[in-house]
Amino acid sequence: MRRTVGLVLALVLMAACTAYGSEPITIGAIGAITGSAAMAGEQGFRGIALAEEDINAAGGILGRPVKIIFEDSKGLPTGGVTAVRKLIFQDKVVGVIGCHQSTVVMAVEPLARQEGVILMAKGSAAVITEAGNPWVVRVREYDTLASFAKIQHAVGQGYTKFAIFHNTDQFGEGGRGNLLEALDKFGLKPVAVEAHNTGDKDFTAQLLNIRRAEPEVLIAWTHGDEHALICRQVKQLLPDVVYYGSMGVSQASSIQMAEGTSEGAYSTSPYSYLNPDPDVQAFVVKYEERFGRKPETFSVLYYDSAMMLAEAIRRAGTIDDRSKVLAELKKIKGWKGVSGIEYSFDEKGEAFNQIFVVKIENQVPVIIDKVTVE
Amino acid sequence: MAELAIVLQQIVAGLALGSIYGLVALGYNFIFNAVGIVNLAQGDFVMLGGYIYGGTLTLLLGLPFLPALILTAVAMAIFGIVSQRIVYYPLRDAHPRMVMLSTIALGIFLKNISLIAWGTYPVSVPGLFGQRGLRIAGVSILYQYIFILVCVIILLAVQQFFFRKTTLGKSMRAVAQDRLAAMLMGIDAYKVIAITFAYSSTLAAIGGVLLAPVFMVSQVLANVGLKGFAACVIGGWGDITGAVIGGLVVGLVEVFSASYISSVYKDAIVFAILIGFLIFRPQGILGRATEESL
Repeated sequence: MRRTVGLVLALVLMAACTAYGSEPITIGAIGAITGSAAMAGEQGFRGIALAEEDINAAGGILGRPVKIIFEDSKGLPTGGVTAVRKLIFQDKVVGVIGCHQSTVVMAVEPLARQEGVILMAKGSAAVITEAGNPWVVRVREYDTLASFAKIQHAVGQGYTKFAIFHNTDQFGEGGRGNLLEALDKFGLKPVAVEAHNTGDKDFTAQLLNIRRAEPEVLIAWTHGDEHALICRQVKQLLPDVVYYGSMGVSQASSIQMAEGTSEGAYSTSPYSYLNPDPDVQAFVVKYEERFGRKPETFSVLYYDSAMMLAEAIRRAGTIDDRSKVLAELKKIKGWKGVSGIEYSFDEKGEAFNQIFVVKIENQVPVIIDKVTVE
Repeated sequence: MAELAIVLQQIVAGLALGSIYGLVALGYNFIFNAVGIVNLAQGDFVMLGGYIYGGTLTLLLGLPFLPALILTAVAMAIFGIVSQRIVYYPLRDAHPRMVMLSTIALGIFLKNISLIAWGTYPVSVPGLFGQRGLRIAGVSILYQYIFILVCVIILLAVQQFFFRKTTLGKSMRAVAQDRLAAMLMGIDAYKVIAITFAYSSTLAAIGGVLLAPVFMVSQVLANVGLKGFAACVIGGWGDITGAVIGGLVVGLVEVFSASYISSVYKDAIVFAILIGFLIFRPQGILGRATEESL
């Protein structure tokens, strides 16, 4: 018995030595683990932890193990800059995955350009890829795509009177601009535009101002927990309005927090855990076993980003020339992720050109349509 | 008619928010009355109460409302005694400013520890009434808001009675006015102070329990502490009725400034008024002018 144990131990150690014999390749990631956006950061952190395991279980990259270092942005631009500086100068990472907040991405983007480090942004504000930074790619649906898809869908249902309710951060302000543009393409103008700050809990004043304008559709552009509170208050104050929400509203956590009041709400999403696609379902099972929760959008996007970056390093055959890794990354076309989306990078660095329209039915987001933009 | 309903709805929302701020302000005032310091972690106490009630007792242990409420109150009372032992007692002879600084540290500690203990997802519990409410002539009121208002009125009455009529309440006021003299009169000042912290934490716990169903519990919930602070300043420090009036003023100002001036700057407007009070009427609406510095 003791001999068997000893033998197994020796074999395990040998196996470990072959995989971990050399210095690990480091990949950085940032997200908010503390602060008001901590929910999204944690989803990303969990997704990327699974990616690290999967890459190493498959033998690492270029015969070397991979170490993914996740740093807390605290949900603040300053926190993001500190985190990325640490990742670049101390951990010598090939690339940084994140952040999920556009404000943080815009704060760290000059650092990526200056140091020549790949930044796989998860913020959805249009400005991220329009700043012309060659080191920035985006693996997330961007707001122009998402807002256009929503307006197109709503107009298709015959609605013409729209009200916009947005967060005042970069994400929300960008969303407002994109919605106005998308409405303009259909020759429409919103009947009301209202705003709120991150962390606000009571939206009565804004919702009543919106009620005065008598819209058919309310499009809210904000984060998951705020969507939940807004849905609750919309149910009280504007029970007849049709609710379209930015991605956050269709997240499982947000639906649960809304306590039934988000039923019937529409959103667009790069991901739904209900997607019957076997790749998506396999990831759902694995993630749920580990963390006791369904993976959410940032879980799959952080995971997919890490896998694509690993693939790009593999194809480049080196990590010393990061511009070669970047070039290989941008050559990735039709790469199927656990999100269910096929990523194809374009010259601007956008990985997305398609998105699902979802509706919350019986407390789950059901995919009802898919919009592809060429 | 539609416009009237909207204005009424605004008033309802202002009063509902205001009673929440008033409730938090009562907790501030209780400690202020007894020890003469401002517990700047009061908002974090509310958050902690919400987490214990929502995160642990309701979601984890599945307790019904009343036992969960009572256990939260007991847990927070114990927490209050422990925290006064750590943040107040060692500094009892220092300037009150030192104690206030140590309560800020306690607040930061609580926010971070709750992140570790309860995670990053806001805790959402339906409470007694869920999202149900009344609808009268186009004005809708959540039952929870009515419940909060009733609780605040009851607590207000209890607190008034307590400070004016009971020996313990009188001892507390004596300790606040002059700890040394109170001790010479045979009052066990430190016991009284421990009880004060216990009760004020219990008030915060009730606040957390009442707020959890409408605002959910997250680290952001601690921000009600700031509004409660503004309510105290506007109502007058140490004045119990003033605290509730101050809370209602803050709630109404918030809703009406958001409706008619700017929804984005509503907090800025509230705090500008707070600064105005601090400069021009530091004793608040109901308070009496004193020479003492905070």
